[in-house]
Amino acid sequence: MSKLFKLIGAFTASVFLLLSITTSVSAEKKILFSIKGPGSGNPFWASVTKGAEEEAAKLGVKLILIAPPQEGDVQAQINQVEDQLAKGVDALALAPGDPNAFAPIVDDAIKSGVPVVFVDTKGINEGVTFIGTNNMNGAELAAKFICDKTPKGSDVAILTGIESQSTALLRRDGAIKGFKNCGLNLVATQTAEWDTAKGRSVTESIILKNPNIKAIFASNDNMGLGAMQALKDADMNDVIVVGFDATPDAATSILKGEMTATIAQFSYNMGAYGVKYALELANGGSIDPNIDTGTQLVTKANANDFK
Amino acid sequence: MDSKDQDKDSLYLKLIPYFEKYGILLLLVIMIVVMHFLQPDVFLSWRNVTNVFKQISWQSMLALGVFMVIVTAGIDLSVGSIMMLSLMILAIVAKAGAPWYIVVITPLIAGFLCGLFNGLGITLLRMPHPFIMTLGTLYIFRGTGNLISGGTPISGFTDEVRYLGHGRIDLTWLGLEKSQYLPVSLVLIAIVYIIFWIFMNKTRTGKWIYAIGGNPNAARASGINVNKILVIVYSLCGFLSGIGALILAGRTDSGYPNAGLQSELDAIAACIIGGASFFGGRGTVLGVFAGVMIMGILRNGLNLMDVSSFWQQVLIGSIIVLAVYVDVLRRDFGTRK
Amino acid sequence: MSSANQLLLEAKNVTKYFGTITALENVNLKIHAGECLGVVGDNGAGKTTLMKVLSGLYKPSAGSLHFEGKEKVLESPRDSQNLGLEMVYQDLALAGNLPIGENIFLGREPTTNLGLLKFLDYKKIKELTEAHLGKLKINVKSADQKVEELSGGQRQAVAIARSTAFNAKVVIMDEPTAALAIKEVGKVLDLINSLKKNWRRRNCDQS
Repeated sequence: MSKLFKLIGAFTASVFLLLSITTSVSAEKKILFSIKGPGSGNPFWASVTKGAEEEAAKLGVKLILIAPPQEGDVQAQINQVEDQLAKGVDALALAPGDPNAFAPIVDDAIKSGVPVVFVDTKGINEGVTFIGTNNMNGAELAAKFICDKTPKGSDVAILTGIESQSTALLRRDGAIKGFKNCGLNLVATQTAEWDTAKGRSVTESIILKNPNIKAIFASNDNMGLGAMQALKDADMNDVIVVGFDATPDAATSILKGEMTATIAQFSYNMGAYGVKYALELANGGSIDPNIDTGTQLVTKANANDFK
Repeated sequence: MDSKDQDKDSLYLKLIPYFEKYGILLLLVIMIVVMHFLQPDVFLSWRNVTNVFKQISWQSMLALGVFMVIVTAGIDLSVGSIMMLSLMILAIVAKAGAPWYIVVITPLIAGFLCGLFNGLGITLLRMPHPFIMTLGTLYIFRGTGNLISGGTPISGFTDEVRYLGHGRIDLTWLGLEKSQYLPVSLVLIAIVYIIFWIFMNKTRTGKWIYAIGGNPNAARASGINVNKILVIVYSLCGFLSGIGALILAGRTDSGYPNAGLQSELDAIAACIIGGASFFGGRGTVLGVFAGVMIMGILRNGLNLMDVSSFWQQVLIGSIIVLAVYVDVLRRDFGTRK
Repeated sequence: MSSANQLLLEAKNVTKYFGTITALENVNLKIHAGECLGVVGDNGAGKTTLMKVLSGLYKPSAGSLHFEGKEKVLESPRDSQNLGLEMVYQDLALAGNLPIGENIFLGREPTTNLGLLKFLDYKKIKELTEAHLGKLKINVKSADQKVEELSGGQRQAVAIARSTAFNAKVVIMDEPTAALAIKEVGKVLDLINSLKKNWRRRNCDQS
């Protein structure tokens, strides 16, 4: 008769066992760091994780770093943050999967005395510090690089992302500013919606109309790789393509001599700064509303680091 | 076997029906006790308990809908997509400036029509299995949701629209603190589950849903219009997904393309854990509620323990297998004569 | 009231096709009150098809059905039930997951009204079931027992009980003793005999 009871017993025991992977309680400040996706398989979040962990060890704070099972699972991320807030933390560093969806939770956290900083993606809550890439500066950096490599007055084009998103607009505006400052001739600004295939077809039509084009700035690497394909097809291998994000694919392409350069975000800094500034707030300090984690030009010389 | 053993045995046989009915609640209670033991300060705190109910609120609607479908020996894979499409339509209607009572009713109608579409497809197109129709609409509804929204989030709703998912019932008049509020979504779960408990247990249509799952030929021979009942069941399932969309709109203040991704699997899992059988005709509304609670508490508890979300996947998968194995064992005992 | 030998049910030139297969061709049949008519034939002769046409589960491809002299078109088993025609199916047509009582009243459950809402009257189902089973001398542990827990003979008894619970004028039984043990066949035949005493009319299909 005891088979069923044995089973329930075994089940209870296994729950206990799995749950006993608990952490000890201590007097350290507890910082909750919620990222959008798991570090495994995504080098960006892996390096955010690394930055946060190393900074936490350095500062001697207790770091709770959580991620949903897959990037884009906003509901799971919300649940995780709510649960941890119920448990009690001293500060929250948050990379919101959806800024609007997180707005009420951030408000609640602040009301209950838990300071919040946004990392990587800016939320919509007023007065909350944003720690991340200054996309405008990054795009301007890319534009300056193109200026140095091309004669004055050359034809150039920009591929933009989905234009309802602030990241896309900032990168576009930064590139436009950079091109204007050094007197390049911007012949086309078109969206390819962050997508490789669209990057290719948009570039095909741009180079058809502007055969003398000398350089293209793509607002992310995926579109840059698409542009590269279109140029290869048209035998226009001299055209400079600069992307953004420094993905492994882009780094490989740069090493092969296809794409010319890309812009890297310092995702490590996002993790480290997130912990550092969240702690500062938890200790009652005040910080700037915008904290730039910096950008870096990636060319053949250093692309190996990003593969 | 001596007589003492026999006594023990018959006592055990007498207990079986109670196991069948309440075994899953026992599991739920065990889990709550275990979690309380592991997280004594947090788990049963007002804030955490209300968190759990807020978190399961929309899933509990999907699970209830899928449960009715599973009782007919069918399956609905499209509930997550129905919820997403209803949410997107709600967001578009809200952005267009419609008054709140129109916005609130939109996802319910949209969900109902999606379910009706499933039901009519399954019966009129004589699909060999509902799996196929709803697998198709899983893609169709999500694709439609992306088409009408351009695949981008649409955010910002009024308080009236957000009431069901985000509203709070103040309990300070009971002498409680301001932070000890009752989430409206908790009350909503209770009301919806009670209504559907009555529907499934106390009405002819509910009884016929069980009969169709037990033996569709018997239902047909009894003069029950099986196709009509199936259309009703799938429509109600869509309607409940629409309620889920309304709750989610309140909870996230945003219509976003990833809403409800894979939540059809969560809903099916909750039904199976709660004792529903894929062969139809079996399961209770109370069981589904327990199934939803078990999954919600497991996720909540593991989050509190700082256990990675990958472990949560492994554990929830294990619980599904275990729960069904318990069911298999139970039936072994049941058929022993 | 109908006299003892009144013509109850008549099938005229009933024909049924399934695709290219002809299952029934110009079948003519008359059933009078008080009569026990057996339909005999080989496997695949079309006995079951004929029964299902008579009960309204299948629609005839050609021909007509007449009940008490009037032509009737049966759209579903519900129509034949309303005429007082009950059927015991070869595959029993019981839902194993439901209790005996709910099977007997399936599709015709008594309800209590609460304003516009109708709720199942479980108490009445149980009372009526117990009374009816008692009348037919069918022994089961309880009316609440699930059909899947019954033996083959008990299930057959429930199916017959179901067909006689609503003052049927004609009871059609499709292979009522097939798939039963010898001991149970006797019990079912006793049950049929007791029906006869109660002036029920039936049409047995027995190969």
